[in-house]
Amino acid sequence: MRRRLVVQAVFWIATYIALAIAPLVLLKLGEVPPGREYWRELSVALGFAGLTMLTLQFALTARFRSIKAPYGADVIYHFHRQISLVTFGLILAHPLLLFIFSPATLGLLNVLAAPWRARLGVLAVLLLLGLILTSVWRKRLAIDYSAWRIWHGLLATGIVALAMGHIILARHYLNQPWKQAIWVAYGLFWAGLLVYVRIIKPILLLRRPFVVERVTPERGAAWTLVLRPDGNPGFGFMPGQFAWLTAGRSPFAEAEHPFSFSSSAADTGRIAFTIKELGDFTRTIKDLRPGQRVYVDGPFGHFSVDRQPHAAEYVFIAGGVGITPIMSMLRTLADRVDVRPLLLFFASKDWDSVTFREELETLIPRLNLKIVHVLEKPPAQWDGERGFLSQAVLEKHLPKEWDRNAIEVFLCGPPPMMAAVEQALLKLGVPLGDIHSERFNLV
Amino acid sequence: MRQRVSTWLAICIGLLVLILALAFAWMQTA
Repeated sequence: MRRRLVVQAVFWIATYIALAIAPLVLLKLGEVPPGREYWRELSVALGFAGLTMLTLQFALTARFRSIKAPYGADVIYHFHRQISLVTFGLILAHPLLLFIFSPATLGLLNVLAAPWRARLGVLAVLLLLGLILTSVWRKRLAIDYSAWRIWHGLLATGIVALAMGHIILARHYLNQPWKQAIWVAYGLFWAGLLVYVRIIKPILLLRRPFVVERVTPERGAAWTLVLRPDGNPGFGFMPGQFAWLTAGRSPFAEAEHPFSFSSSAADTGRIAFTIKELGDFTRTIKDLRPGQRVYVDGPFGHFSVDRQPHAAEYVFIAGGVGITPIMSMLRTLADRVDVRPLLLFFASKDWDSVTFREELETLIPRLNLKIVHVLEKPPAQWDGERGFLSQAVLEKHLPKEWDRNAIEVFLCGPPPMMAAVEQALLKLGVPLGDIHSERFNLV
Repeated sequence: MRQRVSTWLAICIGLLVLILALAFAWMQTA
């Protein structure tokens, strides 16, 4: 299993690199125009490579299970963000090189007098700058997630269309009809992908609705949303996975949000999500009424004990509502009467906000489970661990001898906690390959 | 950690593309 994932991981990285550099190879095929100045050719090469990488951004977020499997969805979104900055740098270098080495080209910025190829290019770069700023500073600019998501898709499509127009009108390298045809086909392919993700997929979801069975409050300002399939068999999932939830309206509503399942994967009749009140959408979960229709696109994610079935022992580390996917795994293991040793570190603010506190106690006799609660603000007579989940606390309770591949660690919590715990685990000699993590703030 | 690896991967891919673009321009003008 692990080897297959490594092969998949390397394959997709190689594919990405091959696709990113493909245009440079393509430009050298057929009738190649005579060479111009070095900096001009470099500028054009960076423009073409940047445009291709821009289009690959669509593939990264199109929820292809096979692409995400080896890395995890959170890492794919992180890469999407990081590579977008690299891509923007490459694209920006395209006009900057022209302006530096041929200042006369600055005249192309005068959109009133400039030819259409320049107008389209300038507009594409400006919109790209807007796209990146509204994404990096979405929270700071207080842009609503749902609205941002619609504009992000529309802007991205518009930018690629403008850039395609720019290279076709510039004509220099696309000097033969077949070369233009390849680029147009390439652009249409990505447009088609977008149509699939945003239109065809929702139509498929429309035929597979769920209804709200109940909404119950949990400790730690969280709500559990129990759903059952409405007139369809629903779907199975691996414990620890997540799905995109569209509540209310239709699956076209675009108000999709990713949440982890909290229910047991062995319970095929219904699914449950446990959601903490964090943002605008999560605050409305409690307002959902029994019988209301919702749409669920899933399952996704690799964060599951079922992906590491060979382990002799599992260690779970949760922070706050990060317990959700781990709860799904614990409930599933209990339903399967799994007897392997399980250790749960659970960091919470205080004793009253320990989500699933009572149910976790009931799982202890059903499983070979030890729970280490770590409280930031413990009650007066607390004799357990206190403060943050430190390296010392981990070391005190973790098995002394680590057998590679025999113990698998699952970590889910707020980003600062995850970063700290991951560092601590590595210092304690836990192999990186045995640490599996999922960040719950994907976007 | 995996996120840091992906950040470095993004930087490396950017550098690789830059090197290939430099090579492309060199081939075009040589």
